[in-house]
Amino acid sequence: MKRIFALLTALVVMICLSSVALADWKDENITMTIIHEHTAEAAKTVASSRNFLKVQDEFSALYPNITLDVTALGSSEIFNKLTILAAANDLPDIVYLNTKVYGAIKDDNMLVDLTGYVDPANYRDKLNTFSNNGKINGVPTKYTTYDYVFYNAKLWKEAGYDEFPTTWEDMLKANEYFESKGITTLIMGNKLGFFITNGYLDALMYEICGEDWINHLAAGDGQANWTDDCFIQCLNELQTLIPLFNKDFVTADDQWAVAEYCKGDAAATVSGSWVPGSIKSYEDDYPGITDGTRVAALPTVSGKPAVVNYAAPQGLGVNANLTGSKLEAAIAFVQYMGSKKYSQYQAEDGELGPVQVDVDPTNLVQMQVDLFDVMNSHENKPIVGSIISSAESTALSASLNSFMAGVITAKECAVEVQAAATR
Amino acid sequence: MNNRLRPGKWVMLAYLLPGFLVTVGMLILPLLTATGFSFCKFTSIKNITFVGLDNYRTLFADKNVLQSLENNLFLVGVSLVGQLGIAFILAMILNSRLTSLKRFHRTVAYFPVTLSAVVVGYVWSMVFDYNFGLLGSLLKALGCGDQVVPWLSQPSTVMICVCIPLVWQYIGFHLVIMLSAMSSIDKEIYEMAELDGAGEFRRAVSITLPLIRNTLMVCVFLCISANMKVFDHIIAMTNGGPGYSSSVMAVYTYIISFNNMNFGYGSALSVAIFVVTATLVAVSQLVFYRRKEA
Repeated sequence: MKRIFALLTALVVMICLSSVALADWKDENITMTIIHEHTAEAAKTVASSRNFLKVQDEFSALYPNITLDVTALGSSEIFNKLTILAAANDLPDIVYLNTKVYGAIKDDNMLVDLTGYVDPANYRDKLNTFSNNGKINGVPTKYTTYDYVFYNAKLWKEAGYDEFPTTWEDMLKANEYFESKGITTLIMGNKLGFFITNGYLDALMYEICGEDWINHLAAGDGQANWTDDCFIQCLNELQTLIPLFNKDFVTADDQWAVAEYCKGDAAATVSGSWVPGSIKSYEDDYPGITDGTRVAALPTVSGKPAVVNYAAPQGLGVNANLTGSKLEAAIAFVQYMGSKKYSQYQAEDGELGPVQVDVDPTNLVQMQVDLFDVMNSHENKPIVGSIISSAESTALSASLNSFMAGVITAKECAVEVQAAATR
Repeated sequence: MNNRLRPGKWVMLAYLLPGFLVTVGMLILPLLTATGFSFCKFTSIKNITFVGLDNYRTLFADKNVLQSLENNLFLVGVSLVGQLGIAFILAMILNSRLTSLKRFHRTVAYFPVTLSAVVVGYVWSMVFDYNFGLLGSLLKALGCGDQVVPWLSQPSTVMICVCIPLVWQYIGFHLVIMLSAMSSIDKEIYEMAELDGAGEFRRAVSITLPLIRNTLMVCVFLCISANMKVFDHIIAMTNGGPGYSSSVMAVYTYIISFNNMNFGYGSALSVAIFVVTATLVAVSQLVFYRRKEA
């Protein structure tokens, strides 16, 4: 009897202690630091920033004992700052990640393993983006898909196309018509360097080289190299598409490209899931452009359905130096930011979020309905840039620009990227 | 100096200390650290492996380094002629007694120096814009629409376009330095030369140039070092593109260090920039002093 009583007492004490420990972070006054790119200024025009701040504010309201010491820098330079802070072992409590920063720190145990705290099944990227060696180090806070053609249905109908072409050969035929009318067939702004790769080359690589080859390339196991024939073929196919583009596509700005499309100077533009919002913002200047825009999948060489590429470009992790209630609070914050809420707000704005949510189609315009249709009816694959090294990705963008400008040959371009991979 | 007026040894050391600390902290230490890192490979942000001269071997085999260095030297060459040449001519004109509103002209010429390089870069990229640029519009208005090309997207034209704002912005800087040197030349020398029948050109070549030689040399050093580390203009205008066509050493180092996260190789590139710049300055100094002695 004494033993049973002692066991019961011990059990009660343990339960009490554990509940006290669990309740700690919700009662204690805790200050957590975070550096991110979502400024109040950006929130005025960018849905992802607006919704990020909205969810962050909700968390603060829910847990007034937690003070978020936020440094918001509206520039991609924050990732250089974070890299330097990582080198000095001085990362903020909540670590805002992109694939480049994550690539630099993933092997240094600087982030908490979130396995057990978040469920990969809930996320569109299955939490692969910020995972390494079986550990989940981050939760995505952005999700983007690429390879959509936004086209002016009226212009294409006038050109004799009730449906958007499914092969590049047909696109080049259509180009003859648009060229005679002084209209750019596919307008592109590659100033940021990734529109050719994410928008065109990745799709060609998945079609011509195949997913296995890309995975071997990313793994760097020597079974696939940039100098392989299939990649050279991709480059040659890409070069045949140059007549479709505006002459200054190498240095043109992507926002300018969307504006020119809306103006009617281009018949179509290839871009990502954020573009409907941009097109809608031009409705006052160019009435009818929102309803007149339809979305199709990218054409292919063979006519087979193209893939839709995705990326979870940003995410949140927790500094591994945290302990006790601060650690629990930081994990709770990341769980909250990575919950359905943010994605739901994004869906209400007609944009994608990292968590799969139900979308009410009655709130969407036709091009957004088309976009979701294309995304759901085509295979979704990660963009190549998110699975190869930063060095390869940078070299690919730069060499591709040189190649498209006619400075180097396809083979030289491939050799340059391969050199960056082995450097 | 009178020994009684001369500060004590410790006072002098105390005066020197802030400058010494700033030089060591801001120049010597980073340079030594970069040199140390240039012999390492960063497998991740905190794992550093000693790789000996590997980064330097890569540097010599990397044709983008050569391209960037060529672009730097091209900028140095164009700037030496453009910035210093135009600044000298303008300084001669402003120094002439026939010129009126000298202060106004000097202020206007100096004004671009006060602008941020990023602002200058963006403004000039708008001038060269293929679709709505000032230059394109001007050519179209003159009936030369067929001459309008995407200047910043073509490897054959991009470096010329990048040079123009650099020359434009820093003419005023060298102009002010040269003007101050010219104002110290005794006016009687010019009057004597004029009496002897020397024209404007003769006076410029035979009197002004030799007498402001030391100042010109300072301008040359400043021009070389500024153009060897040029960065903001290129980033704002072309980001080093298309490809690496307008990349310079500082831009390439930034790309390698921060886009590729290859800090070891980036450090080797930084050391290379330092060595090349120091060599150029040393060579120009050598040439200058040899001529002076001769």
